[in-house]
Amino acid sequence: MDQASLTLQQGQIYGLVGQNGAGKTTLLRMLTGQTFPTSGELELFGETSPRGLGFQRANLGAVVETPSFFPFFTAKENLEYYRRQRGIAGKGCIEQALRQVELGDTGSKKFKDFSLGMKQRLGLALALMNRPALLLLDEPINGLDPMGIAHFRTLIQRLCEENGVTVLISSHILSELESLATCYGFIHHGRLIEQISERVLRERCREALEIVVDSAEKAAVTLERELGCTNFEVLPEGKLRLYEYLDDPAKVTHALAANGVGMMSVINRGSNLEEYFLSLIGEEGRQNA
Amino acid sequence: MIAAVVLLGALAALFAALFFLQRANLRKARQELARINREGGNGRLRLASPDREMEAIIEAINQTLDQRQAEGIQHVLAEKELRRQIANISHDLRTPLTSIIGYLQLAQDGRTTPEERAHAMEVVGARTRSLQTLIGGFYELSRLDANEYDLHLAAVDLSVILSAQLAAFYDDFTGKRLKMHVEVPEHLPAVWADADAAQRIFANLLQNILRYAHSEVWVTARAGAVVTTVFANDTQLLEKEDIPHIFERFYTGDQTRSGHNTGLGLAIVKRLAEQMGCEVAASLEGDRFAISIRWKNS
Amino acid sequence: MLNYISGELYKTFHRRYTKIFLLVTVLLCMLGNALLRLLFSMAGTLNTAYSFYFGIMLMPMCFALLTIIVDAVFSDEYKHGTLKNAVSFGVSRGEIYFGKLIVEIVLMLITILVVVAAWSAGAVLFTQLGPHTAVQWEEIRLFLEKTALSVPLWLGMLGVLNLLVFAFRSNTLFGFSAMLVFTFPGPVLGLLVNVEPALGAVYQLTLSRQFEQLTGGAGFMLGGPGPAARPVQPEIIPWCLLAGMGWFVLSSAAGYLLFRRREIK
Repeated sequence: MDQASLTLQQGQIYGLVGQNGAGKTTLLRMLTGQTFPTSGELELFGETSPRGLGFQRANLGAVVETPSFFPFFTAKENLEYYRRQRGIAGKGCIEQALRQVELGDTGSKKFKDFSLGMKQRLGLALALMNRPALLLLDEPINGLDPMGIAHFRTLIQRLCEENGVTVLISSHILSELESLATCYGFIHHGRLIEQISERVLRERCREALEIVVDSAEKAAVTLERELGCTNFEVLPEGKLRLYEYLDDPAKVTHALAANGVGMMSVINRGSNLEEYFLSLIGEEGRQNA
Repeated sequence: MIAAVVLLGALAALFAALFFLQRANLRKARQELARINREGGNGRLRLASPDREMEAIIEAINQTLDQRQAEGIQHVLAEKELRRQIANISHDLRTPLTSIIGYLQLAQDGRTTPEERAHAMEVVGARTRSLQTLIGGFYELSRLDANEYDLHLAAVDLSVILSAQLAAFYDDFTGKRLKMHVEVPEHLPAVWADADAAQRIFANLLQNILRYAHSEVWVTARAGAVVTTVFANDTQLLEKEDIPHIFERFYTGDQTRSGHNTGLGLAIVKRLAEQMGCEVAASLEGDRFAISIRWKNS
Repeated sequence: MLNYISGELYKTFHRRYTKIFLLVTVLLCMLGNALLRLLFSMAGTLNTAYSFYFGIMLMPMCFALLTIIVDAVFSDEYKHGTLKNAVSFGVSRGEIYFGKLIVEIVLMLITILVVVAAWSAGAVLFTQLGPHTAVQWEEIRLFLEKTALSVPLWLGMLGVLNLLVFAFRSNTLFGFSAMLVFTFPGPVLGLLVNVEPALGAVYQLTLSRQFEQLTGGAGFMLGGPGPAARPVQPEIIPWCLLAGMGWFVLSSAAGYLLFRRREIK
């Protein structure tokens, strides 16, 4: 981890996007107190002292990496252990949390016999039993079947809208994040390189004319001089994204051809989260190079 | 001797500890509750240390907070629903008004012929009247919802009312070339209802089947354990999943299928019938959509 | 920390492991006494007191029981990775370390009661059958006194074991190190004292030394009960307390400091 400062607003679903090893899990583990920063300060809910951090962590619900529980206990027994440890009043919360994640009927099955999906759900149940203000989820849909994923999505959305819970999800399955997140944070090489809201992302991913050319420089010049167009982006590997002339691509292709620019493909489309992220880190790479 | 002193000392220490632990528990609960009252949110009270009695009362307080949160959610949902309904209403009022204004503009245009002007005014008149009916419908529904509708219940023979309505709509049905299957006996056992309301119900139901029938309609009234009236029509516009919602105001199935919504007619039918203690049910078998009402015996 | 302790107590006493442990301990006490009876009847002397003396002799060996106790409470949390659940809620490293220590002490005290009761019952049961010499209250009292004096020593052992269990990620390593720590250094040092008397001062500080004075090593049976039957010398008492509590405090402090900044997987 190099440096990261995330700002979340209440009720947001924050998607943390980054490659493997970019530092997503490390960041989460520092937030939960499993690891200590080697230098610099950790601040959570405005607290920085170890005592204050510990106090604020009680408002967290976290599922980091694979959920771990005691294999010799059942789901209920595991949750009862943590219920006592956390001073949660009344045993009813256990049933409630299990029902919320649809694990209400595991009966006397011991944790060691759980499938990955069930383990994932039990981890979520533990986090929810806390009634947290902030939910930290690390790859939460790992191991869930499609129905489980759909159910997870509705659950998170309901928690945010109705209970005002803020959720931080770190996932590399971007398609899932796209349907959930209201805000995105992009992490690369241990640094938070960008933080934008979903609305802004939509705007930036709007429809564009994507042309793959053999010479991006020649193409750029042509676009500016011949078509007077500056509303475009140059991407790696000869890809140009044009936000004008969307309804008249022929004009563009004619101009480019006339100036000796070879075109490999011309498509009219909007980009998605994955492409946005890749272009972002590509940008980073080029800036640092 | 020393043993006794040590024992007493230990006991005193134990009780002191319990006392301070309980104080800590109370303090923590108080602070947390103050924060929740101030900021809201999802949090609940927790114990600082194990204590049976504290746990019981904290659990109870948490339940109260749960209730409060649920009520808050209900409130927000109700507001959302209200906004949606207002949007619906304004949407449904907008369309006839737009056409009224259009035709008025046409009428005021110097280039239109007298016949065209006359026709325009006719249309304006018709649309204005239907607008009036619509607004009347809203008013009625809101009164029904608030239970302010005055029903004068008495022993009523439905066959008379039903026959009258059928007669009133006869031209409309034949005009649309719909095949009619009518089974209404001369006399039906009396039911406990409001005559005007029954008339309203029949009018709306006939209006409904008139509008949506493809080629056939059925109107039946039967005596039995209770008097049952059934209004049915064949239609290709409905699916099984629409049936539970059919009595909602302005329910639109798939927009692309029919383009219009059910309006308020069926919503009024359901409210009126239920206010009189009758059972209303809708069903869809194949292409046949039917609404049946089981009336109350007088 | 009390909440954490409440959770640990629930977990420890709800496990089958703990229940089986206590059951097996009781059975071993019974078995042990049955065996003794066999031996005695062969040697010709059937004396209940000898059961109690043998019990006293076994006291230093109880580190084995303590190892199991520490393992039962710690529950392989490194292997299962469950510590992160506690830490992410805000439970401090200190609460975890000392919370577990306290529960281990509780389990230890319960085990002591169980063993004392079972051993006494076994002794009485097996040696009272057939021709025997009646047991004297003095002999039982000695047994109880030496048990009481062993408690601080066992506490010292517990402190060390807790340090070890938190220090090693692998459970096998923990068991192995526990074995090593309690079987070699003390006795070896004791032997070396004969060679190099200067080491005597160091040896005096070990728990082994206290046990040796209290319970004696071998030298039982054939000649007579040996040092185990010796009444308690008053000088031993402060040493037992000091050594035991000293080891307890030092090992706990060291263990906590080691654990404080440890990364939790």
